[in-house]
Amino acid sequence: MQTQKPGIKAVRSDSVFQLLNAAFLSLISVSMLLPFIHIAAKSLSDQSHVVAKDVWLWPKGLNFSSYDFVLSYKQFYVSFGNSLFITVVGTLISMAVTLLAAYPLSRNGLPYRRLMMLIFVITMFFSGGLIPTYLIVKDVGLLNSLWSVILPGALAPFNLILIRNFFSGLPEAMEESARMDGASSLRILAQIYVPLSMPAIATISMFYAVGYWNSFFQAMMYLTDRSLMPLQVFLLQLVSNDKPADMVVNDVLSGVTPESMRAAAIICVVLPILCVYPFIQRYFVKGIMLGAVKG
Amino acid sequence: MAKTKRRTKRTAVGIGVMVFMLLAAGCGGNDGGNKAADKTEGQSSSAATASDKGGVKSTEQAKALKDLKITRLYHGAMETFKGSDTINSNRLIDKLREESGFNIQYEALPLENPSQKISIIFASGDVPDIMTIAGKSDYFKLAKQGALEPLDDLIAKEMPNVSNMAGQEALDAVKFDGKIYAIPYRQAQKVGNGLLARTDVLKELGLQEPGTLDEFYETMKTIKEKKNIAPLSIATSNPGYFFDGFTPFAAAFGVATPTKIKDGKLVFSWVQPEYKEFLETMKKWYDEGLLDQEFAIKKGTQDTLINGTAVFTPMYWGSVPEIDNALKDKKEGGTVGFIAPPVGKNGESGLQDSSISTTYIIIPKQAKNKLGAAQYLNFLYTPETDELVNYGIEGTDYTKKDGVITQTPEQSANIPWRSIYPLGDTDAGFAARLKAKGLLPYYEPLLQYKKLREETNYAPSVEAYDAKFTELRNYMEENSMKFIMGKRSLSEFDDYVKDFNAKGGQEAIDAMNEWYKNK
Repeated sequence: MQTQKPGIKAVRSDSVFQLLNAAFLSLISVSMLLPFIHIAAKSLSDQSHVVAKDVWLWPKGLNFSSYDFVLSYKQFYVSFGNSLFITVVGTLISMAVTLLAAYPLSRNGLPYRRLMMLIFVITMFFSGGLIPTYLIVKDVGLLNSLWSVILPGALAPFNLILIRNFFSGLPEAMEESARMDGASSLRILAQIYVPLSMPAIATISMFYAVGYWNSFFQAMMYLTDRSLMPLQVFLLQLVSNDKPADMVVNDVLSGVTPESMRAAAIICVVLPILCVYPFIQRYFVKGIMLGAVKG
Repeated sequence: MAKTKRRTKRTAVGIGVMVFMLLAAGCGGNDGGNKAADKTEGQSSSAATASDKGGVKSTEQAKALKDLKITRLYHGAMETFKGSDTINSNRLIDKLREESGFNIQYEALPLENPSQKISIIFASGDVPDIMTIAGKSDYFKLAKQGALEPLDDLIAKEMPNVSNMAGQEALDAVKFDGKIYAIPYRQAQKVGNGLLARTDVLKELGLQEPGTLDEFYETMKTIKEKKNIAPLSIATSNPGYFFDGFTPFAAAFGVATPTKIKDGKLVFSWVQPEYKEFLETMKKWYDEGLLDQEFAIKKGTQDTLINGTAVFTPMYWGSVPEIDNALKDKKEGGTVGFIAPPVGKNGESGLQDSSISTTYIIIPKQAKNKLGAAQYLNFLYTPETDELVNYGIEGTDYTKKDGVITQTPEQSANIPWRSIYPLGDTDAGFAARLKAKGLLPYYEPLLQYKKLREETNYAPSVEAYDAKFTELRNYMEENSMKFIMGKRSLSEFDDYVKDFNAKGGQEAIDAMNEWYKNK
């Protein structure tokens, strides 16, 4: 770090290190970006070029018919709405539950604090199993409702630990002074802890939101009604279809090759959640240090 | 000290799990913790009542209920509904309800891992009245567990039309302990993959369509000389692809099916001396650069024909229109067509028979409306309903004059989702859909070639065989590729046979012969 300070000359070996570091990191980021660009190029290309494997990073025979095709599915919009609901409502509920659990658990005064934490942590390592969970979801009447995707996993213990650690890092004196002024616990949480923890909250919200947006296993298990399918299930069905005979026979695939269609579907599903990142990115820099330094 | 600590830890874990379950259930219900606790307690008893209900229903089965729930495997056409139509609300299902007299509701299993969902559905006791199951092993597992309703009586009394969908041989193949538990989902497609050729290249070089394997070899040599390409492209990177891809050539040696009959007994084709001959020939082709040098890592071969880097490739007929269109878009143009699979020295040849069904239509034992399920299936299997589900509604979706049905491509494209509803495909229906789409020219040429019968497809579940089959096939594929590419010397073929048999091949085929000799 000292090399960054003005006045001290960069040591030669350091600049070599920086150079290698930059090269290495750009290599990694490029290797992550390339497949994405490749898919994007395919989705914008003419079908015959895609089948002939001519397309690499730049679309050939630019056209939007694949997007027309994906967007002509009624199910796409239905699923989009479902995913939006799951993501927005789910994130709100998850954040509320996480904050309400993290705050008391971060306070030293709470009796049986360690035991409670242990109980949360256990669920990170053991689950009740698929069928018992299904039976519970069924018995509380959540089957075939979007709540079944949100509620059973509303609280992620890992995120709870992160937030709790962040809360523990805030000076206790602040809470004491607020209490002296007559603030209730809820008020302390809402007006002191939450505003001070915005980086953590933004990061964890992002975790939750991405999780909800990408969730498909619960939807596959608990939902049978086609009109409730989230976007990921729709995508899976479009993408992993290895073109069975009846799809060809039934007009499902006319004109557009599955490959460019798949590419377009992937882009359509990834893009919305990608757009959220820039808005919360400014919190990330602080966010990743969450709980790293305690005390 | 350490012990007590561990014990407190253990009780803590116990309490923890309980508290968590209450919490989770409390979050789930809108009505607080009390009710949730009741629910968890009532869980075991609810499973019991479900089975009771099944018992009661079977005794008072005199009258079919009106409501009927059908859970079928995923079908891509389910995504094609437009406007206000949905799977359970459109003109076709309205008509099906009206004609059958049942209030039918269709639901779909997920595309990914349907068998997991199926076991959950059966475990929860909340079963549909009709269900489709994919795969022999899943079906026989459920039959063994007693989860399925035996259909013999229902077929005899309620389902005379089953004969339109399944012959006696097909029904025999689904028997478990002498009873029929499923109706096999009829496949109307007789053949899938054929040997596709760039016919324009053959013409350009003045070559005849090769008939025998030797002619095929000579033709490839000529193409290689004149064009300097590997004329034959095959993609075998995924498990099962080798077996599929090399079928037209293995057939010339009589080893294209997993098993064959020798001296009245079933044997694995993959360990026969003629299989070695097949490998030797393929190795020769590979060594001489006639066979795509990258076949073992290829995922598809469409591009090779489009770009003219190959002239022959095994191809699914449904993928040919794509190649055709891509060639039309190209400056150089080009034409493709199926050619006859080459004939071997003993006159053997053929393509894979794809008409074998591995999808089963079952009625769960705990279904509420078993009688209705049988009656609805019977209704589906009448020729009139078949016309309805394949063409749509007369007047709107097609016209009929003097018994001749006319359906325009537009009319067909308006109801692409119609094939969700039938539970089994008829030849007439399949041909009708192909015709409306203009796909018959791609499919029909394949029908003239011999289709190879795999005897074990007609066997019921044979545990030792079914459990090992995939592993054995993968072992065969891996080694066959090595032999062809020279990574393993063919002089080791006998060792390979020994290993194959030791890996369960011998046991599997012996078990299968038990069935075959009593057939």
